[in-house]
Amino acid sequence: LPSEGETLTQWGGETVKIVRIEKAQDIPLGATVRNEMDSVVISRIVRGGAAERSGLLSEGDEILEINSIEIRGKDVNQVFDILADMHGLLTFVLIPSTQSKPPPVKESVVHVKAHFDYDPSDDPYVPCRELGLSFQKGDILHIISQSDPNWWQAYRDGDEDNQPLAGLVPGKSFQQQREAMKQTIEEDKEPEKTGKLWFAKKNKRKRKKLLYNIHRTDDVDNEEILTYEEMALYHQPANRKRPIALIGPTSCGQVELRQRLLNSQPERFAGAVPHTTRSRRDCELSGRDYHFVSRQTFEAELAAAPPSQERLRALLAKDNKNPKPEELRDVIEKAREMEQSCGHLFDAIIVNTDQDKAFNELLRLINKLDTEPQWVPCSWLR
Amino acid sequence: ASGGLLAALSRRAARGAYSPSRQEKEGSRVEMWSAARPPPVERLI
Repeated sequence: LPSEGETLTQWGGETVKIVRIEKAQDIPLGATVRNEMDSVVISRIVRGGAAERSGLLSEGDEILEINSIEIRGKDVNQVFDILADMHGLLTFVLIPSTQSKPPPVKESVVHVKAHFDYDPSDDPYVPCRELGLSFQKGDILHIISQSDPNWWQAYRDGDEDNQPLAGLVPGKSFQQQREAMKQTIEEDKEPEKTGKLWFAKKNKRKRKKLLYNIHRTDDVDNEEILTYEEMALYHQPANRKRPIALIGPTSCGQVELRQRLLNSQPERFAGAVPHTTRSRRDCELSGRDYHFVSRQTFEAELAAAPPSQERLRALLAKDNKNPKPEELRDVIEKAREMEQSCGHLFDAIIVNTDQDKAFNELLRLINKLDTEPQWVPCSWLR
Repeated sequence: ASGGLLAALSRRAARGAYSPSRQEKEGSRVEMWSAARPPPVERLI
C-alpha cells in the first residue's frame, strides 16, 4: 500500500512512484543525487532535511521527472541548478529502488572528539562537496549516522542550531586506511636518511604493522593513527572535584600558576599528598605530608591507577621574563613536541604571555567545571 | 664469504631495472589506490 503522499502508477510501461514534497525557498531538500549512465539516482538522504522528514525518498530511487521537468538524461550539476531555483510543492516521478530496504534502525548518536584536522575542500574523496563538514583537532562531533561506513553524517558541537542539515565526515576506518597509505607513500618518497637510521627503522616496523591493518576490519590495533575518540558528558559532582593537572615544558610558569591558585583560595585548592616508601620522620604527619606506604603497596597502587586519575589540563605557556633566545626556542620547541605527541590528551591550552591573564583564564576554566559538564573519554565513565 | 654473496644478491634484488620485490610492493599499492578511487560525484538537491 502506498504511504501518504505517495502513489504508484504505470508510466511508459514501468511502475513508478509519485511523491509530493514541500521545498522551502533556497533550502535544499537534503538528498544527494548521482549519475548512473544517463539516470539520476538518489544517492543519500541527509539527516535534518525535508526529504528525510517526509520519508518519501529512498536511496537508489531513480528520478524521472520533477514538476514535469524531465530529469533523466541530465547531468547532476544541471539537476543541482534546476532544484536550487525551485520551491513549493514538488512532484517527483520515481522508479523505486530495487534494492531491498533494510528495516529502519533507530541509530543512536555517538559523540566523538576529533584528533585530526579535516578540510573537505581539500579532499578529492568527499562524495558531495556541499555536505563536507570541516573540523579541527579537539572539536566534538555528534555522529548521527554511520549507515555509510566511509562517510558518516555528523553535526559539529555547537553548530546544530544554525545548520539543520548534517554534514559528511570521513568514517573512522576509512580515515585510518587513508592515513596508513599516505604514510607508506611518504616514506617511500624519502629513503633512508643517514644519521637517522634508528628513526627509519622504527618507521619501517610501523609501516608493516599499518599495511597489515589495512586488511583488517577491526581497528583495535590501529591506535597509532589518531582519528576519533568516543566521548561522553561528565558532570563534576560537587563533592568530588576533578584534579587539575598542569602540563607544560619547564620555565613557562606553571609552577607559579599552581602556587597562585593554592595561595588565592587555600580552602578550595590543595596539592595532592604524594605517596612515599621512605619511613616517616618525626615532624611529618601521615596523610598530610605523605602517605607512608610499603614498597609493595606503592607498586600495587601504581599499577592500579585508573585512567580517570589522569585527567589532564594543559598549560603550554611562554615565559615573559627575559631568557636567552636559545632557551626560549628550547621551551617553544618542547611545547610543540608535547602538543604534537600529547596534545589530544589535554582539555585546554593556556598561552602564558601575561601571568595575570593566564591566571584568570585558568581560574575561569576551573570554575566552568562546577557549572558545565565536560566531554571526557567514554572509557572513563564505564 | 657466503654471507657476502647473500648480501650482494639481496642488494641486486632490490636495485637495478628489474626489481621483483619492488614491483610487488608497488604493484599492490597501486591496486589499493585504485580501490580507493574517488566515488561518483554527488550533488545536494
